[in-house]
Amino acid sequence: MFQLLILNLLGQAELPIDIGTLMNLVFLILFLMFIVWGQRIQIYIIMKDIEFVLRRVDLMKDEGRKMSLEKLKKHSAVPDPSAFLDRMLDYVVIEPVSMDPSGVVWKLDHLLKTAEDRIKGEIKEVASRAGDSERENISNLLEVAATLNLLYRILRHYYIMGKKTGNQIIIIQLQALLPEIMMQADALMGALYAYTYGHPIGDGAGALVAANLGYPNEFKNTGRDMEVCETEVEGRKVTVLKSRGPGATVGYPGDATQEVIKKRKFDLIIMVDAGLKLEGEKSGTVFEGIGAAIGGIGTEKFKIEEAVARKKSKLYGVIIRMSLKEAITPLTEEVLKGVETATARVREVIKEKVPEKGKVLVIGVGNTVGVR
Amino acid sequence: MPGNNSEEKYDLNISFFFFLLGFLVMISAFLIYSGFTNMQQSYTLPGAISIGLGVLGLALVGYNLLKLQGRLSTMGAAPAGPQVVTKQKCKSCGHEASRPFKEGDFIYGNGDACPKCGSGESMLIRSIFLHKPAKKRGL
Repeated sequence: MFQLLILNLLGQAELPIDIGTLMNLVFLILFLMFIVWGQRIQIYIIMKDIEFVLRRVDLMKDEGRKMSLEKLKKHSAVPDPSAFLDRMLDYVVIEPVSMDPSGVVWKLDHLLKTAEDRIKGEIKEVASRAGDSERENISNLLEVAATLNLLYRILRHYYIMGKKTGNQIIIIQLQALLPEIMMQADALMGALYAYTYGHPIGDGAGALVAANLGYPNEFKNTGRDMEVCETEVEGRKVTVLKSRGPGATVGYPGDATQEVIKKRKFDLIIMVDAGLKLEGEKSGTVFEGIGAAIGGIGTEKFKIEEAVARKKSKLYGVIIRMSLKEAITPLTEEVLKGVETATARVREVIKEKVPEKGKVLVIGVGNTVGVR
Repeated sequence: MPGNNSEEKYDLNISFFFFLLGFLVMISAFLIYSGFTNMQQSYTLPGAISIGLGVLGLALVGYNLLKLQGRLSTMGAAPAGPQVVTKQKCKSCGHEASRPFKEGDFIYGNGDACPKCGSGESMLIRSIFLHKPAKKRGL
């Protein structure tokens, strides 16, 4: 058969095949090939797509490690902190058992504080030349590098699982998630730069609103990584609470709120935070509502809700919309405009809802990297 | 880390990819050749279809090569750092100035000395934000 084909191609066949027959033959072979191996070819192409993303995330993860190592070396008295860094990149907080949910919030809160103390303590030992703010930035930088590392390991796990078992469901699901994974990885890359250099990030929008309200008054330390300031807006006494800047920390607004609320009764409590926008919505737009405007794992939200409910205070939320990428990368002009709008809106709400000489508590939630 | 175990090793094995592309080039070239032969023998329609399919095959090869080049260039390139701008305002005269972000800058922190009034007091950093260059518009 092939001999006949080759002889035909060379024009030396005794019985030449006409071109139509040859074309039919080629298409028949291709048709049978796709019938038998079509799915395999498709899976092969999908696997190549996954490999490409895996390689990119691998490069990003390496970049994260490199940037963290450079930052540590800059502030470290130890010549090579790479062993410490590798240990930190695999660091985990084991969640408490939730079969009996009663009291799980306090158990989780305790675990988170223990983990933070340990990480900060170790950073203090290794990066002994760094100041408080720098140490907080390093702590967040390591967290981002560890997240990139985890993202890479999970992606690699499912890729190898798909390859080993030939499970097309795993492979196709993984391919469907690739754009979202790349978006997250890109956002984490931006966060690496923000924490390395100390750029303010979108998530700091709430804290920035609080800083705007408090300026030019001095903020005083209160509780763990938090600070408080007393100011006045249109004859109303305003207590402003935010995490302590300019290092990268979100603090413990729940603990600080409980502490502040214990001492006095407020006519109104306003929480300001950054919120994830839905696709198609404009970044930097401000919306508001009722309830605790705070994200995270939920422990701080629980504490605030409990303290507010006990005192029967009114709780308003003002939220600035942004994407996940904007939340963890340097502040964009749109988000900055949103911060100005939110500051103005908080002033309006205070004026509208609180009588003169009334007391208001404004809680600016967010990461204070690059914000006083 | 990948690479320690042969089963876990992933790599961009592009030899099979190039083999497929080479096969496609051969088929396309053959289709174009046969198309012209058919045209010479006055089989215009089958000839045109063959040429069309051949050109389509070659275009597909070209597209895949360009896509591969794009991917390889993205993988090799180090990600560029963001362009962040610090905006400062003089507390005395209100003069506003912008400059690229310097490590240690933070909002409501102290900036540079005012170049306008020379009061000696440092300006106040009012905002720090990501500078996005204006998008180039096509025709």
